[in-house]
Amino acid sequence: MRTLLKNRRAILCVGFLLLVIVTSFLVNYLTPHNPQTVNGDARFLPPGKGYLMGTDEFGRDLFGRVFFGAKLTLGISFFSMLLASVLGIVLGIVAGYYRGFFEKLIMRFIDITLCFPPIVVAIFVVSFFGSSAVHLICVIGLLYVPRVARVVYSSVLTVREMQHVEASKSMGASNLRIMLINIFPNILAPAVVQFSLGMGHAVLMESGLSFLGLGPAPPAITWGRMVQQSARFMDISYFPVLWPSLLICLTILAFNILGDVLRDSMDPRLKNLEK
Amino acid sequence: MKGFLVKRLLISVVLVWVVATLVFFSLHMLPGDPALIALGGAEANPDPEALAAMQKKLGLDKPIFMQYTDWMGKVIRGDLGRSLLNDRPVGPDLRLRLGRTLQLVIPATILAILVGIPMGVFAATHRSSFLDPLLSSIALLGFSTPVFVLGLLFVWLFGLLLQILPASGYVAFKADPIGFVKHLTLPAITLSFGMLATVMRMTRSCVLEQLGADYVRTARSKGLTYKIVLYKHALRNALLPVSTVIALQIGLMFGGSVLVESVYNWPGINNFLITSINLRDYPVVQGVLLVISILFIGINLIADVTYGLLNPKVRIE
Repeated sequence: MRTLLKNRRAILCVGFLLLVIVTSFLVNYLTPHNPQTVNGDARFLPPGKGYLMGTDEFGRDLFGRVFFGAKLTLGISFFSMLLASVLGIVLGIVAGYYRGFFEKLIMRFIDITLCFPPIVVAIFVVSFFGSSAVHLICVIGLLYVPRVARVVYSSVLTVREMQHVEASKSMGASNLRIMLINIFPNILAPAVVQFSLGMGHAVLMESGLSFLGLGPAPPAITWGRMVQQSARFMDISYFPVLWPSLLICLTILAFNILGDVLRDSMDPRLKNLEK
Repeated sequence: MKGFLVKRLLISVVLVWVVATLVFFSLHMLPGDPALIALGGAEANPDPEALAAMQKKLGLDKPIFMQYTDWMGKVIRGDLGRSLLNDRPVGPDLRLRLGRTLQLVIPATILAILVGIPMGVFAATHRSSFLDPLLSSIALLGFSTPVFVLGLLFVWLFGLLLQILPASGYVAFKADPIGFVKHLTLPAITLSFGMLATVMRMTRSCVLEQLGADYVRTARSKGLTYKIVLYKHALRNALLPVSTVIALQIGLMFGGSVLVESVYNWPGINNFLITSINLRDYPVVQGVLLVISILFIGINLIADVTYGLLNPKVRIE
């Protein structure tokens, strides 16, 4: 954690993400315009007076819309990754600790889920079961479970051979206790890395699905939906597409860099290389 | 080695069967009567006799297990059924659409390999120059930019601002080869970007790893030139892991092509899937999902096998 604070790139990323989150919660106080209000006299305004980021094809305030969208996009991403982490950690620990039957079962299950391109599964599920935020959270989260589970599983395989596990076992600790006290804290680091990288992945998925028109339906605002709706008018004004696109890219970039920095700071081999 | 190949192949066959079963049952658990859809939906209000006849024609009056074995038997013989909406056989349409998607994916893959590997080697051999961090940053940007954002950027830049390339659409190669290439350029570049970034990063780190190895020092100290050591020794060894990454990335590219086809209005298999899902055309959805999954499994199999061929450690396990 301390190395993280020393890293300038990490601070930049965390700072940017915090800025987006805080702005999205304060957006009502920061702009006088309602993000849903249609104003026929103010269509396609460039950024400037009154409208910090300009307006879209319906004369709606882009600043308000972009940060309103941030709330939904980031919310969906966060909860889907929370779901993926919880399930992935449980499955990974069970598979790696008990080995044998559980291991085979869970690993085969993961193999099967990896047989479909995630976005195709997501399209399929969302278009048949509806595209509410809850559905998106479940789909994106469940599709990411295999990745978390695999990473956790491979860490568990090394952790379970450590002496402190053996020591606990010899003192008669139950399996549950060993998994919670000995193994869980040791696999938390790679799980956190996966969470950060997964957030980038989730934003990518969510905006991709919304771009295909399969995200939460309007009046809900998401970045992907904003891009989709305004893409037709790019020849008139590119700002309605530019702002959400830019935020999608920067957010994913921030999560990816953060994940990389976290991984590097946890990998002792790389640390020695730098010195 | 033979045992490894047979085992992998068997696993893949079982996976294809599991996937086909999943596709069949998940579609049958969904609400909506295919016979009703074939007759124009609930609004058309078809009379019960016609409905019963259609159900019989589609085999929906049989128990689900019978339907399953019927369907499976047909699929094995290559018959994917007929569309509910226009009664055309699914197979030929699917082949046409898949071909168009491959026309997009294959050039994108070639482009990513031809550009990504040299760029990776360049970055690895010019570590002190400013170009290495620059290339790495571009690669990181490539990972973080969704394909549809990149696609729209290209549409705006080349299609609307400079007006040198068509912004969307598809022209068949047979009808107009030059038009085909023109329409292909932007989507293929867009699609290749993610893979290009991955291939470049992987090549860079693998070449660096090899250049630090003992055998490279030995080769250099016995008087071989830097170029020969780099291209004949280090690069060849570095390309082993890169080739696995390439195979895995081709699978991911099929996912990316969903969005690229949507941005550029490219009438490939993914557009086919989305329209048929929206129209609830179940046989088509089944066929497309099946084909995409088999492709995905096949590509992963190839990735596994090449990895096994190149890395003896995996074979023994």
